[in-house]
Amino acid sequence: MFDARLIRNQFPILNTQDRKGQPLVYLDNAATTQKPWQVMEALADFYEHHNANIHRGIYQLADDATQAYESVRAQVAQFINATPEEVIFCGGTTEAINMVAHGWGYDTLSPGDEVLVTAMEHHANFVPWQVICDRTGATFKVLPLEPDGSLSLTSLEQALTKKTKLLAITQISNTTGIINPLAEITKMAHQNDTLVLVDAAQSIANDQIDVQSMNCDFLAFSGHKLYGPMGVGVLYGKSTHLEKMSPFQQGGSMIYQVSNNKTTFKKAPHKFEAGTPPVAAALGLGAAIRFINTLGMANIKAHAQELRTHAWGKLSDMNDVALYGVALESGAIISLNIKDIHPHDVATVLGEAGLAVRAGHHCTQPLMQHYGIVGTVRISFSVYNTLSEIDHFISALSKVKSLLS
Amino acid sequence: MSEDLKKLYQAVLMERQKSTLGFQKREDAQHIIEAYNPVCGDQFQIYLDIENGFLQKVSYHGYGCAVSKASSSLLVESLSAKSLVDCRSQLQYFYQCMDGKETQPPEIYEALAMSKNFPGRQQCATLSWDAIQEFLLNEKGT
Repeated sequence: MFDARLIRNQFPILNTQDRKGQPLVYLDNAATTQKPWQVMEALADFYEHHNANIHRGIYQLADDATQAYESVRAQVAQFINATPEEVIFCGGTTEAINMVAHGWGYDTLSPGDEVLVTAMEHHANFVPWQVICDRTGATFKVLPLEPDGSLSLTSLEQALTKKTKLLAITQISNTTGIINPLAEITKMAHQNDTLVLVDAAQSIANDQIDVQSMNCDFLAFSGHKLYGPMGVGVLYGKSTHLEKMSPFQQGGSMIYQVSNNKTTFKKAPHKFEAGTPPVAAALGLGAAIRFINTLGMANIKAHAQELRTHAWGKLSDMNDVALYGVALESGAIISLNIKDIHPHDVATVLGEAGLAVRAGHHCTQPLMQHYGIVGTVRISFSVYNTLSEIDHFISALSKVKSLLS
Repeated sequence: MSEDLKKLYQAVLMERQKSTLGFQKREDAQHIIEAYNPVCGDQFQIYLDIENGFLQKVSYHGYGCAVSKASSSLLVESLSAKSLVDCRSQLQYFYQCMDGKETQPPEIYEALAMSKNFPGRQQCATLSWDAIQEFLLNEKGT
């Protein structure tokens, strides 16, 4: 039985209060989720009982740490329906995308080639492609959006040509929650031999990801948006691509043999994990995945939808509130503005009422330019949010106008 | 509603952020100074001429929150027709008020200074002033 009130008990931070004694109403889950005690315990357990550097230690502690780390790789693979060899640990989504931009893009792209992104991308899935195109002479193309901020598949189909070497696209917009139908999109792209990199930063905690049925070529996500620790993330890549892709970073652990004249690298995924990886954080990620599996992704998704539908309905009824995105079938995110009031002023007043929301451009300045605005107030939901928290938010929002108008 | 919040968004600040006084583009200005906060996207241009060591025709334009707009408007009013020396003194006075080092600052300074009690908002109060300060550092005249 899914009960957000009971789930809250697993998150110690949700029992804390602010300076004024108000309970924390955390509605900034798209930025990072809070952590259940299981995750924190996994981190502490590693440092207390298993701390050793992995892969090269000829003693039991190091061997235990290595096995624990590799078992999380297998766990992640199962979570997204990949094989462990296709799962690369890294620092987070940004690093994962940069690994492909610099590892694959630098070797592959040349003048005449195109990289296509959408205007709803987070800067993390926009800027690396802009930069790598600049360096290689390839053309960086941004696919415009429909007026509501959604993607037109017809426009996408027209924009994809034989020149398009890669499409970088988010599964769920971090600003509006708009969902892109990736199975259809990858099919469309592959007809032109275009590779597809999916930014799954927002979708990983909110929908079941199956890289096989999605048929993406690369997929990136962060552990910290999935109830896991900051500092660990994953790049998934199809084995055929990873075999050919150059490592973005070089150093210890990733080498096969080094001599004065030449260095050879290990096979994937190890050739992409130079230096000491985030072992403790990876174990925390493993605990986070167990937490999610216990709740069930279908239940998590249904809960988020209930919260979003409730909030969207209430917000639609409010005068002078502009909503961005679409009403139905969106991720657990809503962006809004109150007429003539700057999002930061709104967020400051809400913050005083104990509400943690985000305000600004959300690292999606091209999307803000599409809407002709500078920023929005964004609320985003998670397993521990309740309908009464949404009502508290709506009530506080209505007070913003009386203070700032 | 907290007292701090009322002190920040008090009438003097709200009236000033709505005021159109000095809110004007002037593309032919001798100097167009950019005040930009990449965190939130707030962006103002401050227009001014320098004639015989005095700031003339000072105005601003752009987009920002209530605090950064009110603060930019105050800047325009405070620096208009002032000598470079007086401008530097005015800047010093402003920052002293923001740091709470002036015992009886005028109401608008007091309101802006409240921003430091709110996470991430002090930079809204100082955005345009920081840009002018940097500009004046490179402006050798007295």
